[in-house]
Parts: sequence; C-alpha cells; structure tokens
Amino acid sequence: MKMKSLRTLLLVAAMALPALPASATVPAPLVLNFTYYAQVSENLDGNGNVHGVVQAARLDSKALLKLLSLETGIIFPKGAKIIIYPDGDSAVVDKHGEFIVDTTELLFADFGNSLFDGFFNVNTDHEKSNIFMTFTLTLDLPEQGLFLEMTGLARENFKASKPDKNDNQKQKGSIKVNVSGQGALEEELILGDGTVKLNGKETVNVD
Amino acid sequence: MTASRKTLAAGILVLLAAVLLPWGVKQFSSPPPGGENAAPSHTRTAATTRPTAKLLAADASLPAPQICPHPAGSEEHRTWLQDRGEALMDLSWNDDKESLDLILAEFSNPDPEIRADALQATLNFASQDAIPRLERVALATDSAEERQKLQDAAEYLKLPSITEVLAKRKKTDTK
Repeated sequence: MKMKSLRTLLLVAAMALPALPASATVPAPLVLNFTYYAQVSENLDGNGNVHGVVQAARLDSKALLKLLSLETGIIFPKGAKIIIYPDGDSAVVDKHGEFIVDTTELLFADFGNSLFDGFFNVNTDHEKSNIFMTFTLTLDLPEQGLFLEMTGLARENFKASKPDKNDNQKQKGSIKVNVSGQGALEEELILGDGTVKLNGKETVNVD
Repeated sequence: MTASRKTLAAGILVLLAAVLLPWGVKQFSSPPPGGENAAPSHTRTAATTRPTAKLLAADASLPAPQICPHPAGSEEHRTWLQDRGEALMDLSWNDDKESLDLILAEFSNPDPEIRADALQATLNFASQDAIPRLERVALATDSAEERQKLQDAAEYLKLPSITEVLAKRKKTDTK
C-alpha cells in the first residue's frame, strides 16, 4: 500500500516537472587514478599462523591506454587519449581529437539515476547546474585477463551558455567521482579505489 | 661611569640593529612595483609566494613556469588559468621528457590553481621520473595540505603499474 502511494507520488512529481537536462553532457577525456590490491600469497606456517601478503598496483589512464592497445592490436600515436561520451560509450582519439578506434566493448561508463541542482531554462537551454548521478565504469579486457567494475557517486558541474545568434551553445562539464571497485586479474580477485575525472567542453548547435 | 654609558649606548645600538636589520633586508629583497614579469618566479602576494627561489635553483634544468600576465582575480586571469590547466592536461597525454619537464616546472608557479593542475597532469603523465621533483617540492612547501597531496602523488607513482605487473607475470610464466 505504502509502495503504491510512493510510486504515485513519484509519477505525479515527474509529470509536474518540465523536462530536465540530460546528465553527463559532454564528451571528455578519461582521467583515471586507481589503486588496486591483489592477494600475492597466503601461507600456513608450522605454528598454525596464516601469513598473507597483499600487493598494491596502479591503474591509470596511460596504463589503460596500453592495455587497450594490446587488446585491439593498434599502436596508438603520441598524445592519444581515451574519450568517454555522454551515452557511456568510449573511444581512443589522437591528440587532435580524431577518432582512432571504438573501445565501447572493452570500456563502458554508465551514468545512472540523477538529481539536478541549479537552473535550466527550457526555452533557451541556458544552464548552470550540479548534477549528482550514480556512475559505473566497466573494464572488460579478456585478452589481458582483466575485468573490473568501479562505482561511485558522480558530481557534475555543468554550464551551458545562452545560444548565440547562430544557435551555437558553449557547454562545459566537469565530473569527479571517487570510485571503489572489484574485479579479477588473471582470475584472481582484485579490490581497489581511486578517482575518475571527466572534464570536457564543446560547442553545439541547439537549433 | 663613562664606561657604563658607553656600554649602555653600545647595547642600545646592538638592539636597534637586531630589530632594524631584518626589516631592512626584507624591504630590499621585495621585488620593485610592476616588476612581476621581470622576476616572475617568486613575486605576487604573500599568500601565493610559496615555492621559493631555493626550489627553482635546485631545478635549474627545468624551463621557467609560465606566469599569468593578467591581474589576479580578473576575468582574464580566470580564463588564462583555465586555458593553462587544459594545456597542462594535454601535455600529460604525451610520453616525452620535454612534456614532463614543462609540467613539473609549474610546481614553481605562484598561482596555486596552476600548481594543482600541474599535480593532476603529473599524475596523469604517470611517470616515476616525476617522483624526485614531487618529493623536493613537498619538502619545500609551507602548506600542509599541499605537502600531503604531493607526498600522496609521489607514493602513488611509486606503485608498480598494472602493465608492469602483467609483463612480470608473463616473464615468470615463460621461464
């Protein structure tokens, strides 16, 4: 009974509000700084003591680029970077932003439920907001034996100017997420934490 | 009696010298008005003068940091900071020493925002060659918060990369 009331309330609230802006709004280079931990050994000595050793290692954007290069068999040029698109797809681009390869099957971001704080003009698309949203970054690199899922609460600082006379609008989004996650490296459990940053800007025609 | 007066006068002179000399040195060592561009590495307001000449001398092999030509707090200054921050991040995707040196040089920048951008760019550059510079700057900084961030970054870069771990495992497996 209570659940039904809540659902009705949410439905009414959703209908009463104008269309809210989409979350994760601009394509942005993936800046990843992640530390993962793996069990190196676990031994029982003659006295009944179990000795465990955990090793830490880092997974950053550059390392991820190398892994993607190994996985796709493509040698990326100097200055190449990983881009995350608003729909969660990923790609590697060169230093000029030219597309090299779609890596969505290997690396995917999911921007989930969101909350909107700030203002958004439904007529002009002018916006200045903070968007809170659930975030998951999934790496699945079977050739390298790596599967990893990182999650966290993302906070996006987003600005969109009023469109100019040609209906061009400047958009700028800055996302930071403290993530934690788990997965497997060569079939061994790994756990870790770190940060994901996505800072991007673009000019779009909103006509 | 005369000797006592002389001793007293000498004592007063010594005291005056002790009080006035540091003040005089401080005054004369301050940059002249409008001289920021001429001596950009350690000028500006007291709040932003942190990385010292000692640091710059220790890393004379690095290029000079790029100093914002606009007055602090102005719109031009904000725009310049954003552009410079983006340029540093662009450099961080390269792998060459020249790019890393340009990033590391910015730890001597009087703008704290640029130093923060340089730290982010250093992390993204992900080279262990940056560790000595990070540790030297951490030792020289007066800000406990900034020191902690620099030390954390150095510790992070000391960790082996996942690619090194995998390469080592493959090497072990083939033996």
